[in-house]
Amino acid sequence: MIAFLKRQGAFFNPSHSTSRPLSSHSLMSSHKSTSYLMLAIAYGVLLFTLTDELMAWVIVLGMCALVVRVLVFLKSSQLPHSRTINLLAVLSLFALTWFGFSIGLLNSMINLLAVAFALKLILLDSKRDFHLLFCTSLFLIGCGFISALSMVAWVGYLGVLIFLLLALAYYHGPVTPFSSSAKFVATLVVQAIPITALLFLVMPQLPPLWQMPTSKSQQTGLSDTVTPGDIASLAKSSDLAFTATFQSNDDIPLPQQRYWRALVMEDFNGKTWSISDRRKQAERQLSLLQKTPPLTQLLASSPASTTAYEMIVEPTKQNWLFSLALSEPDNTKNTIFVNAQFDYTLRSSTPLMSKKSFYFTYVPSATVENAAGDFERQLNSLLPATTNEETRAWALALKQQHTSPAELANAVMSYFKEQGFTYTLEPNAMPVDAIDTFLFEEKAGFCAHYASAMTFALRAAGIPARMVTGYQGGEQLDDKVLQVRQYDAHAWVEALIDDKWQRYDPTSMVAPSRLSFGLEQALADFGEKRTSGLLGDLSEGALFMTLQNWMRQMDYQWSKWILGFDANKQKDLLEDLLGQITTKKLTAVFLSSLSIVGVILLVYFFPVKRQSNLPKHQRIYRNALALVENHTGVNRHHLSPQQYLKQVDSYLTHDTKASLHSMTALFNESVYSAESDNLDKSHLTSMMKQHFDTVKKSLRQQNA
Amino acid sequence: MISIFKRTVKQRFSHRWLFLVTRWLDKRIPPASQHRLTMNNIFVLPTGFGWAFIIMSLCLFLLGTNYQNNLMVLLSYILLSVMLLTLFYTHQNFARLAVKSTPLVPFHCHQSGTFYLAIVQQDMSGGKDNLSQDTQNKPCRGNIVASWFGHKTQYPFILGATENGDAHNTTQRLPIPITHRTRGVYKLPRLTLACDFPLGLYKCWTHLDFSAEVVVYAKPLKGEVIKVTASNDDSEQNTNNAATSAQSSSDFHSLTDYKEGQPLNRVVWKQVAKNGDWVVKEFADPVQLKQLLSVDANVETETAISLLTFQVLEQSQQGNHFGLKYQSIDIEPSSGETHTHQCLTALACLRNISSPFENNANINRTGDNAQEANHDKKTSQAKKTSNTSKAARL
Repeated sequence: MIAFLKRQGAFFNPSHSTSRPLSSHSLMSSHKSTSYLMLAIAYGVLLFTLTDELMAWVIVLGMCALVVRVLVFLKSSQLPHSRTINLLAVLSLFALTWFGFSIGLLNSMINLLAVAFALKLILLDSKRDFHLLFCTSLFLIGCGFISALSMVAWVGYLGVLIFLLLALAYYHGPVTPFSSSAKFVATLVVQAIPITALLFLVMPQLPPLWQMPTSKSQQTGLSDTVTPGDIASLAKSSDLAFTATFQSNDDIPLPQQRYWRALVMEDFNGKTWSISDRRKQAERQLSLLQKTPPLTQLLASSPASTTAYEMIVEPTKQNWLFSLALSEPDNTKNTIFVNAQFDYTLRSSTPLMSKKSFYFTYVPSATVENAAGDFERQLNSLLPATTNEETRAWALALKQQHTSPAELANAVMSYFKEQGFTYTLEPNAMPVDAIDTFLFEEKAGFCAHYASAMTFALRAAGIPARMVTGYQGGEQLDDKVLQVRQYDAHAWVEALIDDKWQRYDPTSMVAPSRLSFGLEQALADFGEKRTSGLLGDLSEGALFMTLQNWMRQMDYQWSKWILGFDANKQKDLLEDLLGQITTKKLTAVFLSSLSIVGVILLVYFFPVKRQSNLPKHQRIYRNALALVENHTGVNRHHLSPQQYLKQVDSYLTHDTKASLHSMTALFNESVYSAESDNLDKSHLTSMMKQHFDTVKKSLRQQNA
Repeated sequence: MISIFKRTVKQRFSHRWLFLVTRWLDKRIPPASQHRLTMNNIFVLPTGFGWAFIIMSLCLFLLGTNYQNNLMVLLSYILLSVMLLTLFYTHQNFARLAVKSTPLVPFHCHQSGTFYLAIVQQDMSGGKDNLSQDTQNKPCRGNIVASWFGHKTQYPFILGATENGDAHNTTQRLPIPITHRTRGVYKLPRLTLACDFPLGLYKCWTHLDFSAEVVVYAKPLKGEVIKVTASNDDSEQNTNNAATSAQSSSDFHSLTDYKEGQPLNRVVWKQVAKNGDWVVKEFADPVQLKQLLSVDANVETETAISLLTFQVLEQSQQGNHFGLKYQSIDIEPSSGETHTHQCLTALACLRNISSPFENNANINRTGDNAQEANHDKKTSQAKKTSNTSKAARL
């Protein structure tokens, strides 16, 4: 970056000025400073859209640069000395390296770019630097799309792009008024849109070429550790988690069956559930041994009913995926390869950095097997040494009463049902022996509390059990589409009974409406609301609901067709248009789209022969002369018709000559005679036409 | 040793290359005094910024692909489409340019001359009788950078920026400085005009040959020359020519009536103001100087030419009759602007066999010869015109 700034020094000396006419020089410099200011404003806007990625001090620095530019524009300040800026650059570099480790590679790169931009912007005084900053701001727009994926963001960034292009056009059109630059840029962008759309449809959608750094701080949705209470905070968010599209309304499973399995937590340290390190190790070993996970074999046993569906997953910046329990990934269609694991969870091969479509096949009849044998049994029987004594004792007592594991599990379930447990988003804090406190004192909690307590109790009673997190439920957008939001996050229990992992959902015992009607209804049963405040009341208005629904629909279409457009959709689209795709057809598509671009350009730029407002007979006469010119090879230039005809007389046959002469006479009469207004136009035209035909015919004969 | 060899090879190669390029250009864009830019004589390539723009678009495409982010991909497609469209816009704008050369004023080789390039309004040049098609009347806009072919110095101009502000009625003339360090008659090199309107992503340029010649006079040098006073036999010519001689070197003789064509500075304005009589002062040289200028043969040729050039300028300024006699130059005494130009040109073109300046390796040696011939024709023409003017005076 210092080198980048040092180069500035070379440009920043007064001797670097070319001689120009004085008046135009001042005109030009005003254009220049205006476009510099426009660039600075665009940068300011970009900074505010990148607040997630940028550190606060970077934004402050950027704003300072903007202020400097405004002051320079208003001529109330000089450009600061480049030495000051170099010093600032060194300081920023230190700060960036200091914070760089905590914010991750991607974010530090974006911060570096923003800082360099700000420093360069302060000193901006040459064409070269202007171009450099222009390109950099294009890249910053690109970075904006890492986190902002909505249609609104796209339109906003397009606006910034147009503004930047306007600054560029204004810079390069030294005497063009602002309005005509604006008109030009508007035309340019409007004309670019069809070509862009065509490129988007036809250009091959490539898989990721290499692994890119991801940012640490922005992971959203479920996390790979659960402390009871975490999911409650997730419930406050109504952001979309994913959208599932089924082939028909009948394929959508019933609300009670909509368990979207994501993560399996097998390690408990007394407070927090997490994915076991031993499990991770085992998975790695198993994949090295190239064993096939059972999840990919679901369809091999040809189950009775299967349902294919597509999920558009919001970017989580994480690897794990969720699917309807249980579903087999359809990796022939997925652009990002989906790995199945032995705990029946799914991992994508790259973190989800943008909305992506995934394809699955749902097998309702499938069950979670014990895929790793004794390893799983062992792993899921472990308990931290000396906590929650009361629960342990209770579990052992239950074991005495019930002989079979299934009965015992049911007993735990019915305990929740009968002991007056309540369902709440805001339970009291339980710092010591959380499970004891929850089970025997507070008796109020959220899904993670119930799942955690039950898993612990089962393990204490000697039944291998684990906690599973994911989503439960989903709202129907239309008759094929389910939308699942962050507040649908859920946790439940799987217990290994008869060598199969059975699902137990203790929450359903306390709040049965959670499964059938969703979180809001379940909370309402207990007199609670998911969100509080003005907006919550507002969201119940009919108008608001319609508006919201409409927005959701639009967002869904946006996600499906723009964000989720991938090689698969591309293929489908082409197949819809052309039927079976062959190499020949693909080549044809490619060539024809190229020619379409050519035609578009032709339409834009081919000098349009403006339909002249000459009367028809004059046009016919002109055409006749053109024919003669073509035939004889003698150009008319600015000769009068009579002179010209004299010149070409020798080339023409008698017929042609006669017709031409009469045409000329007609023409002269119509244009120059005093009564030209009184002439019968249609008669004149037909006469002309007649003569024209004879000329044409005779010329053709002569050619033959 | 090897480096020297390399350099010569490189030089030879570049010479050859330059020759090929010039020959190709001569075919592609034939010389003319007026050029209208069309598809055939415009070159277009992205500028450095244009390449940076393309690379940035490709980077965004890669980033978008790697993050599987369609919005980034879409952005890169938009940028590429803009790039594609701008190609046509740049070309379209530049193709509206029509330029015309104006006659070049000779200059000395230590000075710089100015070549005025007139921007022709397209709709003015197109004929407008009611049978011809009317052309688009949008002018070419943006920054024009002019430079001489093979030279680095660039002269930027802004099209449409006139002092008065209204670009419609006045024809814009671009003053393009030209320097030449050696005397002689030169073919004006090709003029390179470049324009990057509207976005600076592409550079459109053309190399125009205006088939113009520039006479570069020798550098004047003050010093001694031999002035041989010519025999004063035809005395009637003397009195006639007195009218054109300067007053500094002559005495007042009489007042005569003003005849049209006589110089205005001779008019006695006091008389005109008093009683409206247009009277002209007549001067008579007691001795009309008719000198033949020459330099001693021992003096080095270049110095001699410089000395003579100075003297010619001096004599011309004083309005004297003078002639030239040096080596192959033999010009009868006379006076007037044409005569001065003839003398200076003759001096400028004098072939100096021993001079090291001769190898001003111009691109086309054949062209040099052509120039020589051309020049001969010109001087003879000039002689003819001066003769005829003399005759008229007589």
